[in-house]
Amino acid sequence: MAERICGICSDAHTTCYTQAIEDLLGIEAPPRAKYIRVIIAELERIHSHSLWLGIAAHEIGFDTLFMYLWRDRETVMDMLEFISGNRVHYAMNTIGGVRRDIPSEMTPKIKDGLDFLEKRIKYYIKTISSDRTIQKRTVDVGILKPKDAIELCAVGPTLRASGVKNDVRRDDPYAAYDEIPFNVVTHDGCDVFARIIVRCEEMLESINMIRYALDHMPAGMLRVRVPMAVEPNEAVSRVEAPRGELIHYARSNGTARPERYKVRSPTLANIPALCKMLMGQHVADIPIVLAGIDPCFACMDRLALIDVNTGRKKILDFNSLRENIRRMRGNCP
Amino acid sequence: MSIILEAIRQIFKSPITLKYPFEKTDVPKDFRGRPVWNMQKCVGCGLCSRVCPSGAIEMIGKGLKAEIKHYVDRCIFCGQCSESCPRNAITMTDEFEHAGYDREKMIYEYRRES
Amino acid sequence: MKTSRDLIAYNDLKKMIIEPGFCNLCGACEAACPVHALKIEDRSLKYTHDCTNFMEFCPICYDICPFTEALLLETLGFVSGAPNRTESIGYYRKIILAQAVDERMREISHSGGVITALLMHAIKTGFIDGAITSESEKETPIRIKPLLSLVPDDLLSAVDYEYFPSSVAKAFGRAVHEYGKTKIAFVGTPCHVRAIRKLEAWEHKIMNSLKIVIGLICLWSFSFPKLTKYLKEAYNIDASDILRIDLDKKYDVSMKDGRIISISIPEIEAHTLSVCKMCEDFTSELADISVGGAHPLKDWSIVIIRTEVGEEIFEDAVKANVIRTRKIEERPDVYAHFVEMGLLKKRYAAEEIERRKRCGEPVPPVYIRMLELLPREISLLSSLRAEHIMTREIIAVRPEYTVEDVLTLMTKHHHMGYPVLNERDELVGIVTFDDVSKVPASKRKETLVKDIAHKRLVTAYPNESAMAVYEKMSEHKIGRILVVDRRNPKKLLGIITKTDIMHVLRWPMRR
Repeated sequence: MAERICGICSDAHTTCYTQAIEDLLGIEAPPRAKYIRVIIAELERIHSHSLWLGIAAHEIGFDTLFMYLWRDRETVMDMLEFISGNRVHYAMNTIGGVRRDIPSEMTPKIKDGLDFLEKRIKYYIKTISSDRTIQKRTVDVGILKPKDAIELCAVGPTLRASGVKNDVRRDDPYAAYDEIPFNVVTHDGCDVFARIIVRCEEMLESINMIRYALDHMPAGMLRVRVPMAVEPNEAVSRVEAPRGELIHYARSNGTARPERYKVRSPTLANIPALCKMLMGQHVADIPIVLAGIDPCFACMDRLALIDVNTGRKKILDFNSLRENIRRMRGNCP
Repeated sequence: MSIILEAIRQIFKSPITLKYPFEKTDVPKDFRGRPVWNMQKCVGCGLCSRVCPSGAIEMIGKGLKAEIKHYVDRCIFCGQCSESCPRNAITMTDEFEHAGYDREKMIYEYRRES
Repeated sequence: MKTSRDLIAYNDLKKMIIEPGFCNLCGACEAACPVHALKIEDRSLKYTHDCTNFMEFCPICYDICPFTEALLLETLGFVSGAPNRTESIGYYRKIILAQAVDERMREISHSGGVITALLMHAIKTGFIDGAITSESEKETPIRIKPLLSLVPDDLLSAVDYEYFPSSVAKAFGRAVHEYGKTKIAFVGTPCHVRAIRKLEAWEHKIMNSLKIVIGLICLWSFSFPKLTKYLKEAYNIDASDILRIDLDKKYDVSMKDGRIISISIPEIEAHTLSVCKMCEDFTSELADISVGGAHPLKDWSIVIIRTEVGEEIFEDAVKANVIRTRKIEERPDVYAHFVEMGLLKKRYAAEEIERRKRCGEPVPPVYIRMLELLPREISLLSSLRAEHIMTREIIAVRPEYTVEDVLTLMTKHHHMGYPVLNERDELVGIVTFDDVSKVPASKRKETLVKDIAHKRLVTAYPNESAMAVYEKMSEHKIGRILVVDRRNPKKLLGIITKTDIMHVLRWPMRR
């Protein structure tokens, strides 16, 4: 079910969830499973970033780039489909490991795909840094100073584009990230352009990581069998999702179902930073600034009201929320 | 401006998109489509309904007399039921076109033929 | 029986198997349990949580336990396609002698290295992608634990004997669940093989990954604490000093320092697992291939191929020249010994079950059901009389023959023993190959038969039952028995060899 929180970064959520539960159970996924998790997570990062890049291009009216990016994104989608059986919602993670293996027969096909992607991404970086339209629309737009970024708890590429070297994969290694060498990409531009470049270079970094992981994957177990019930305990797990740091919290009470479960998605952490970014911008720039944090409103758009006295539950969706706000403000359009 | 050259080059290529309802790609090997129950194999343990994260499976009765009701509208196609089933009674098929107008029609019932 | 069963099988399992102490820790229940409620840990079976929390109805753990009666007939279906059947060996396609071509493998294993060679070849060719066997524990080599081999070289540490329980069925479950393997070879003792076949008959999901089942020849498994205590008291040896145990007609306990201590079967019997005493399956009758030492031949194994899959993988290995074979007919003594051990186990089992029934002690349901299911050949042997099976055309020698004459006869007729008759056709003795071979080559021309022949004879009468004859032969450890007239013990009527008895045991299928 954790997979359904987000359609783009479904694997990050499952990884985070399984890690939390594994923590509760006091077990660890086997090494091969960790490598497979890394491969899937990085493939997902490539797919998420290229999707975002397309959206960003679309927001500034550069639909040609949007179309090409999305066409090339199909390569990584096909790879994920090839490995896991589905384009999104890979269902690769399970508590205690992964469900499917990446046998060595698959490696050449994945590597071909990576080679193609690398070529294309390098080409896009060249295009983006030389293209006047993009330069004009993104450079010095949506400035977020490093100090503000830290103060407002920005995460992920948004934070790294402000020159802050922060990455859960490096700071609190999970899965096999402690064994795979990689650079944390940062950029000092602090603007939307910097965010684009950071994401592009992260994709290249991911490609190298997948190559390394495929070559160094240890043989052995895929998963450990776990007991159905979990002793009372609580656990927090952190994962670097494509959009930034993702936190899952779980508390168990000795049964098979969690007593409490909380997800802090990266978009939620990035929204406050928008306040600084949007200050003094043109109205026409709002879409690209907003898109610059790679928002996922599905991750944010939920508010459940529970009446403690009656136990009645009410979930406010986008429309009812707007109505409520309208009522509060009186006559906003 | 290199992207314009790229764009011009693409004019002479055939489109990459598929004309979907008329042309369909093959689904990959381990695709998780609609789960289907083989009631000759089902022993009625009720594990599938117990593990279903979205509560899409209902078991009426138990043991060999059990009936399965599968609510496709709730199903998230995670494949957990098929993985949990001890006897391979549940298979994930290749069907992926489930959209419809009526939720009532999205219920599949399975019963053991005696 | 099924109707009276509990909805949750564990209750029955506990009552019928676990509480009477019949569990041999194979771990099939752990592999099968859909909610991981059963677990083998520290050499005991643990019930970790109440499975009724998750399920309404579940027959699995009782159905697949190798000591319950469920699904027994279905498991026989896996091998009953084979053309031949005898009681001591079960259904089979063919029986041959085999050994690994690679000398290294023969050295590691102590009887031909056939399984190691076979599995290594199968992994190399991609026929299987993993094999479940057992390996010795480091501190106490005789104690074994399951081993999952994914690359051929892993198999070198595998052992081909299982004198103590090893949770190999559990390991099979792990190979599927945790390693995601899809083509697995399984090696185990008869009861493990039965557990695996039951899982297969139950159509359990993990069995989709089973490729081939290789059964070991097993007389009994020991209870580790009981046997070590006994060895300590009687022989003052520590379990950790024992390198291995070999079985031929007695148990040879080899020590790390090179000493070998022989213990007879009746002496050691008290220290076996209680289920093993009632087990009548000597040759893993449900396996695809059964392999065991070909006593008295060193470095050779007896291989019983029962199914088409078994034949395919074996022929493939022979073709690739990793295994070489010999015909079993070349060594009737090996075959005779083998059959004898099989029947011995069955006889012990029948007696033990009978005794337990008399004393009102519990018997695992599987053995009761087995008695009803299988056609009995011991009864067939009892129903036939010696005159029915004896050979009447006798080739005899005169007392004045020289040893060389006898040797010529032997090479001509391929019989290993000849009765000695005097000029009045009275029986005076028997001369065998063993006697002849004791005479040095230089003296063969002058030594006469009457000097070397056995004068004291074990004889049988024509109206004795074949079973009695067979028991006489076992008792005196001889390969042939002379049938004489009851009124005139000097009058020779016929001769019965072990081969004749074996022919009898094949009768049911021939008819």
